[in-house]
Amino acid sequence: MKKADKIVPYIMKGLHKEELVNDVRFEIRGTKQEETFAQFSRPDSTLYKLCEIASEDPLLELFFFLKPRILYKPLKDYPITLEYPLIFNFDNEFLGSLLDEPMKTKIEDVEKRKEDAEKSVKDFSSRAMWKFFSVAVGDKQVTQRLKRKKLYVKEEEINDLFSSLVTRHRKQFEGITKDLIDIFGSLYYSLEYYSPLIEAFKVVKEAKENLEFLSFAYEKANDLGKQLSLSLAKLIAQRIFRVTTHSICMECVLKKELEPFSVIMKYPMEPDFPSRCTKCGGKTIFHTISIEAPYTFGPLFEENRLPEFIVGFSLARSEEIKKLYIHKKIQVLTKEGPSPGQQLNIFAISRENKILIVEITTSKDLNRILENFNKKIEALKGFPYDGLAFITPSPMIKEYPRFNKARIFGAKHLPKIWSHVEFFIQESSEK
Amino acid sequence: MEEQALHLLKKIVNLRETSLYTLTETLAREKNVSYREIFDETVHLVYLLASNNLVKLEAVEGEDGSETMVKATTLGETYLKSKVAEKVME
Repeated sequence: MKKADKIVPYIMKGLHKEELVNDVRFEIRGTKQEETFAQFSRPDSTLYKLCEIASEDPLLELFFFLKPRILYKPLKDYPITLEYPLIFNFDNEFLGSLLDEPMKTKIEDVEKRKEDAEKSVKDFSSRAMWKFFSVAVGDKQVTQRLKRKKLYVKEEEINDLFSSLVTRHRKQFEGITKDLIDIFGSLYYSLEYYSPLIEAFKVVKEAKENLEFLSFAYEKANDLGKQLSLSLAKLIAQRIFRVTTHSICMECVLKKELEPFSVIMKYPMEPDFPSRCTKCGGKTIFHTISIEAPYTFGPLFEENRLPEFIVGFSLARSEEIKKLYIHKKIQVLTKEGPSPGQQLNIFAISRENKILIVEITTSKDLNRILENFNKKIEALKGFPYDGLAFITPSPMIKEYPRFNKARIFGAKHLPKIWSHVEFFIQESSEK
Repeated sequence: MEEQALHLLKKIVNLRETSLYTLTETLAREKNVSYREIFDETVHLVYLLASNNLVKLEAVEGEDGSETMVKATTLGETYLKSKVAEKVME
């Protein structure tokens, strides 16, 4: 059976599906968020392709469990930017020393340099504004216009008024432009070096945790940076996302007092993550991966729903599963009428007609995981099912613990989640 | 496009804080069109407003799972007021 025939990611509003499993009739409806999944009705859509590619790539499967910073930019086709901090190689001793007093002083010094650069830009702006208005106030045409009774001025009128003002006082305005050239240096250093470096100091712990999490993709993780380049290239080639990377050396400034080595790659076909600094020879290079996505992906990212779909597509690889509904509301139809609806991440039916429920959480915190797990078990009381697979990105869960009909899976199992769940189904069927 | 975005901003300011889905439902009812017909366009406009910092988006855990909440920013409210004033002055 083809994968696409097994997965039901979207049910149009007002419609429903029915499944009869071992004399139990289930009614499946879309959820409140359903329209966000409408793109799944076309296997050639970018969202469908993304889930297909990510579900067959162990690194991408994990990557979309990472929590990005979401930014909105006024770009027509790609208004959403997801930023992921990452670090692939690092000098352990250097990273450990970041919290030591001498290093803290150096970081504070970088922060001061950034603040100074920003201050000089602000000073220039107010100086330029002051100069501009002093010229404008002394200009006859401008003052005459302001004396008119009608105070409201249309935008086009303002533009005309000021462009003619600039033409009349060209020499004075050229002075302002000359000052602007001097300010460029400060602005450049602030934007290019200091801001990303300070950001790197703030989130380096998160970047290291991201590396540790992604390392679960392969048993022997050789050059994870190269592997991620190749994985991201698959998405770029399909025009799913546009990717920009910014790599900056953290050791240059703090160890050698050099301007930091910094590389920005805008929209490469295959991103590259330098593993060594060509300036100071250090290996602690901080990377920011910015993924630009179309607006149609927005609510999915906002609500962190992509992992559900990627896991769903991955599970569809298993021969044991014959039907799989992702993020749907399920009701049991009885003689007395329908039961209260259960909103489930994945509702799957096995080849042996067993009902498997898969719940996905993106929290790594063990206490939170157990709390959510218990809530789900409680919510499922009275609902007919044979197995519950609780999928988490926790690095702490090494073996999958079993609680009656349920098992909890961790980061270690994510790259081949379909085979682990397949084993779980077989195990449940034997009982 | 700009007119439509402005109309949507007005709606968001009036509703104070609303989920993306409730907002679409309200608009569909008002325009007497199907939810499906205007969902894409609403999402597009919401992201246009967000990318200009006129609205803020945040996922909030609701009864039916997490939902994207839309709220006008202070800049959005000020912008709307200035646009309304501009129309009155004209």
